[in-house]
Amino acid sequence: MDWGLWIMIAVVLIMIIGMIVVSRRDGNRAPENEVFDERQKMIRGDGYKWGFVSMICYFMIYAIIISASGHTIGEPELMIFIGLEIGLVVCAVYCILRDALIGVNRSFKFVVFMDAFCLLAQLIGYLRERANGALLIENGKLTSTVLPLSIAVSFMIILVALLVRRHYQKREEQNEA
Amino acid sequence: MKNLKLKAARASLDLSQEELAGKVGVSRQTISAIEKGDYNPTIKLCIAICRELGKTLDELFWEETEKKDLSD
Repeated sequence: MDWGLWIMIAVVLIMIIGMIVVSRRDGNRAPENEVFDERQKMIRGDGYKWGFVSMICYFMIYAIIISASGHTIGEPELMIFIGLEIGLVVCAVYCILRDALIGVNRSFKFVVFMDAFCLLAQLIGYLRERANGALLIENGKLTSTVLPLSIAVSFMIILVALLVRRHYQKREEQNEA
Repeated sequence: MKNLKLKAARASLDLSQEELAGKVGVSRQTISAIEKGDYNPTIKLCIAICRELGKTLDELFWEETEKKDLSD
């Protein structure tokens, strides 16, 4: 059997086990250790919903394009990953714009620093691949070189959303004072 | 609808949104959303806020509606 299929099954199994472990741990956690307040939890629920809907829409549109045109736009793994990225970015931006991404008493600067670090790491990875002669499009299809670039774009969108929201928060705080 | 009673009670104790949020264990934005009327808190949070501000639930969260004259 193809190795790719086994790797995908292994990844899915790891994700399921991870989700079970996290849900069991969170279920046993004392309420006073909670990171998000009640409003944030509600908004995060909506965020997950919109992220999931965006992902489903992307996969539906992609499936229609494939069936209509008869050929794929890029490597299958890449296109699946882009779908996941879209879902995550929609969820993150929705939560950021409603002040629900960063928990109570959590550091905004740390989140921005981590985001910027991941953005730079992906950008450097992309530039290195390009310097080594990797192409973005090969035989009319997007290659895996697009992956670090698309991740960098995702982190960039999240970073911009964080900074824009921070700007409005500061104005709100000034008005309150 | 804006919760001006909450804002007034908080201001009378010279508490900022940040300080009240810290005392009741929520984010500043949540207190701001309650004051602006953008979020309806759970009864648990309402009680926590009332305790911190030394007010009753009625004083902070009950909205008086115009009473209709039933004699008509």
